[in-house]
Amino acid sequence: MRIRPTTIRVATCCLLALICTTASSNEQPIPQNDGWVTDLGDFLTPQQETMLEALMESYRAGSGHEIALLTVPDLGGRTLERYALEVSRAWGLGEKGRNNGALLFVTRAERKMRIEVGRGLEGNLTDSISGRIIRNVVAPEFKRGHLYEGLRDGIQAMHAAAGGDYGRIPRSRGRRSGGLGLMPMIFFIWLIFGLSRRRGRGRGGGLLTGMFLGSMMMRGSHGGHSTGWHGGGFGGGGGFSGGGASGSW
Amino acid sequence: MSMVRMIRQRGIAKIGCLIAGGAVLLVGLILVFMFAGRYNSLVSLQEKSTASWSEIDNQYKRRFDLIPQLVATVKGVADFEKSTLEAVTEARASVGRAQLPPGLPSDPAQLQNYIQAQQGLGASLGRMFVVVERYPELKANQNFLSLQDQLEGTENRIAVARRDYIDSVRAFNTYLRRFPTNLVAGIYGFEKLPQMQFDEAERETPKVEFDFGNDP
Repeated sequence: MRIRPTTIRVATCCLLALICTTASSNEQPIPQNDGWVTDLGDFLTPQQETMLEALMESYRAGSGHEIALLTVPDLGGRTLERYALEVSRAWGLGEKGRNNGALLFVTRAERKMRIEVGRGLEGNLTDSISGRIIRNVVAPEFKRGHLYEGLRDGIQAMHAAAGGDYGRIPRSRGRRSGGLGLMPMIFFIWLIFGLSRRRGRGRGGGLLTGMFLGSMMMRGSHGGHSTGWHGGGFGGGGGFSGGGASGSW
Repeated sequence: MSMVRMIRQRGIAKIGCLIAGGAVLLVGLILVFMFAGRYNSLVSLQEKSTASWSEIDNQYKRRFDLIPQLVATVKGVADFEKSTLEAVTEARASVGRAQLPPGLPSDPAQLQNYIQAQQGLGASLGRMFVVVERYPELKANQNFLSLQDQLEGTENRIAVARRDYIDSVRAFNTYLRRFPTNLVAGIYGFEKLPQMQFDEAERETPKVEFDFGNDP
């Protein structure tokens, strides 16, 4: 029996569609950010990460620009450009309305990197400057095996290009420590309220405890905001339209 | 006795009238608000599509303007492949011929024509950057590298804007055809926006990796 060409075509289409859908569902989710430096690709020691984090927070404090660093072990099914863009948008880098964010993105397995620039910084951190930073600053250090130096100098070059000053680093650098520090206190208060309720004031205690606890929690999370790294995310800008440059080492 | 009943009945009738009137008013208000909401959503979705379209157009223009510089720089290198350069110049000229009227594209055929010319230009540039790899003299030329960064930048922006355009047009067209919205759209004359078609080669194909070794 002869198979008609249309049948083959339909079958191929179905197969392609199947492959495409499974491939897209295989895409890893966007990684969570943890501060200005998110080192999933293990480029840095904890000390180096802390130093870099301090440098970057100081720059943010002085200039308002939000420049972050992400390293990953591999691209996991995305293209370099797509990955960098999706991360920058999902993290909401840059202040809302100003979109003054940028991301240095490095992947270990593919030995590639990209500088993704938010709309608000495109005038200063242009495509050709981004390309030059990758080619002349980061890549040469990486080739020599100096990962920390490459990342640090690259970030500093991005700072220099984006303009603005460095600022004072906030005193307390403990990440999200504000909320945690309050936990014993909250527990203690909860205990006292619980005991007093049992003494026989009926249901009112529950509500009161709830309100009190609620307000404490709120204050706890606010405390986290004012010190060092602000928990969940960046300024919420995320206005990226694909500016920047890519390179490899 | 009958008088009392009549008065009572008239009162009930009055209340009934009031309730009916109120209900009609309420339904009317709900309808108006619903229509207003739909209308506003349509407008903002359309604006989003317009914005991504003008981004695509801007980047196309920027690329168009950058090419003469690139060609001049590459020409400066002795014995650079003539055919590659000619292909780029020719593709640029055909883009120049296929201009669209300003504003959102409305004619799918015209849009298709334009996109095809632009994609031809993109492809010829891509080929040229491949050929350039054979010329170390160019790879060390800062001026050329800067131009290459800028052109790659525009390519990437075009890709991003195109994806955004396709997404926003899809959202707009889907919303337009849904039930209560299509009435609003009909009244105010909103029309379907043309979707872009891709060349097979240009479509971003996801890389398929079969990784049987370490399944979770």
